[in-house]
Amino acid sequence: MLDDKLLAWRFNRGDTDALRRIYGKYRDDLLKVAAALLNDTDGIEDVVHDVFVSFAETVGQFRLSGSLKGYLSICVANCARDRNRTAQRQRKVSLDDAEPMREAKDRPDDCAACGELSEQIGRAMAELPPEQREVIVLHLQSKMKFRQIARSQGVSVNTVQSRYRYGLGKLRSILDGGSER
Amino acid sequence: MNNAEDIEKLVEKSYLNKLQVPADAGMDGRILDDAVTIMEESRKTKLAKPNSWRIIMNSRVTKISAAAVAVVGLMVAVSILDKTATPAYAVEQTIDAIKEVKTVHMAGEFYHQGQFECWLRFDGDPDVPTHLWLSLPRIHLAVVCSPDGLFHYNKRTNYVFRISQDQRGRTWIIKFGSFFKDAGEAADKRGSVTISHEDKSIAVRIHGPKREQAFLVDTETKLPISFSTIRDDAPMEMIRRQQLTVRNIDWIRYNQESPDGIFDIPGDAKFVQNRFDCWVDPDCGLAADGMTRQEACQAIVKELRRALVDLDIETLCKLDLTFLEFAPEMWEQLRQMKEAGKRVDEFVATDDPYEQDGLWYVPCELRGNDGRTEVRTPMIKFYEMEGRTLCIIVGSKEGGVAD
Repeated sequence: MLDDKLLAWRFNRGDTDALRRIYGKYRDDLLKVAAALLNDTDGIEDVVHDVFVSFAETVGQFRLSGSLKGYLSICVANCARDRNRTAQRQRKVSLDDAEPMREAKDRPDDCAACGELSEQIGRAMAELPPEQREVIVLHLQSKMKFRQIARSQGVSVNTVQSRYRYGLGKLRSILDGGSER
Repeated sequence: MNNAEDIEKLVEKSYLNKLQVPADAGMDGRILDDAVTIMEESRKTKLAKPNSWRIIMNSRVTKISAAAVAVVGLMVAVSILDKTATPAYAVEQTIDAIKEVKTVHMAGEFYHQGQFECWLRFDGDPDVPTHLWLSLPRIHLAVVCSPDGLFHYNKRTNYVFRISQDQRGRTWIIKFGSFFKDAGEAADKRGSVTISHEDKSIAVRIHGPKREQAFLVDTETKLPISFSTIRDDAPMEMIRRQQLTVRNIDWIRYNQESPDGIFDIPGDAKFVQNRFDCWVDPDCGLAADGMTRQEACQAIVKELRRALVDLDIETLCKLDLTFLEFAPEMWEQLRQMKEAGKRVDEFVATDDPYEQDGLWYVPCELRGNDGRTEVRTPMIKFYEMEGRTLCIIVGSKEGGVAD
């Protein structure tokens, strides 16, 4: 916490070393969030790249009110959501029925995670509605509280908690081979 | 899958923890190069960007009216500039400054051991001193660690006890160069830090959930000059810990010449067998001149009884070395217990004193006013000091020696 406040303070004063340290500190976490939320592996680096470039642009004006990791994770989640939507639109417009939908093996969940169980969970995660998947990843991977997620998404805590609960329920159902599949 | 917890654990352990992130060596460079470039451009743009206030002020009409308020404005500006002109401070400056430090002389207070004074000498590594001299007045001794040896020294008696535990490796000393960072991390996740410029110093305040601490840093040297615990909601938590935990540092001075021979064993020093022998001085214990050993043992138990019943701290510390370790808060707790009616009613010998391996023992019974009893066998040692015989309680058979 102390580190983050100081890093943010130094970053705001134009210290590029502070930016490098922030990147080094949270790189892996953010890449994981991106990997868990994106529908294509190629976009992982792009999302983290875009988040850091946008963050760098806020120099001198950045105000840290909560945790830096939480802030950056939300940025990654937003960016991943936009990218997924764009990809979906492009597919509808230009490819439509011309090409088959991406095979499951192309999803990051399948190629990045190791082991059969991981693959199963990855596939199940990919089937969740984006907002449920986002809450699960932000809560379990970025260790964000429901309150923080709610604030960042502009919805109530109850909504976030419901999304989380429904998401887990659906995951359980898919993994158990239930009817929701 | 039974419940939500199971699925949470499964997702966390079997999926998220196993997610592999891209390991492309060039990725970091690509991201950081772009981010740094944007950051620098953005900063330049923001610095160069004229604000709307400046545009308005550049108009002819405004220039005339502005002249009228120039004097007032100048005064305001001076006060603002005076504040903003304070040199920017970053904790790294302190860490860098500490790297250059050759000696540190400081005084303060440990939670458990009370007041201290300390000399540290460094040779390049600010985290590991080559020499340490730590004086603990409450137990009348100095702890010395140097390449020549590790020992306790009592200046008054000139007694030396060689120790095996190197205090230079203890947390509070070893990371002197990382002092701020460590304190900040200890403030726990919910903590925060604020930095403010004061008259002649910079205050770095660490706000933790249980305690608030502050460093004062010299504006010129960027070195910490004091450390204080401003608020502590759970002091007993720290006091009960035996290790050296700093509560306050009243002052810190740098690069001063340490007194001659402070890290050396004096040539005429007397080596003692036990750690507690070093705690003893001529003001301790009960004068046992003219008494037999048994009589002296009985007399000290009698005197101890009176001090326990009255909660006479000075006498307790004088007669029994184990009480020297009590922090003021522990005495306060005992006082409060006494006021609340929980007190020692009796401390009586239940058998005759006897000698074993050079130490004397008196079987006793401690009785509280609540009817509870406890067997306590004070361990007594006799010393010859300044021509007098002293009888001192150095521990108990049940609790061991003062250490």
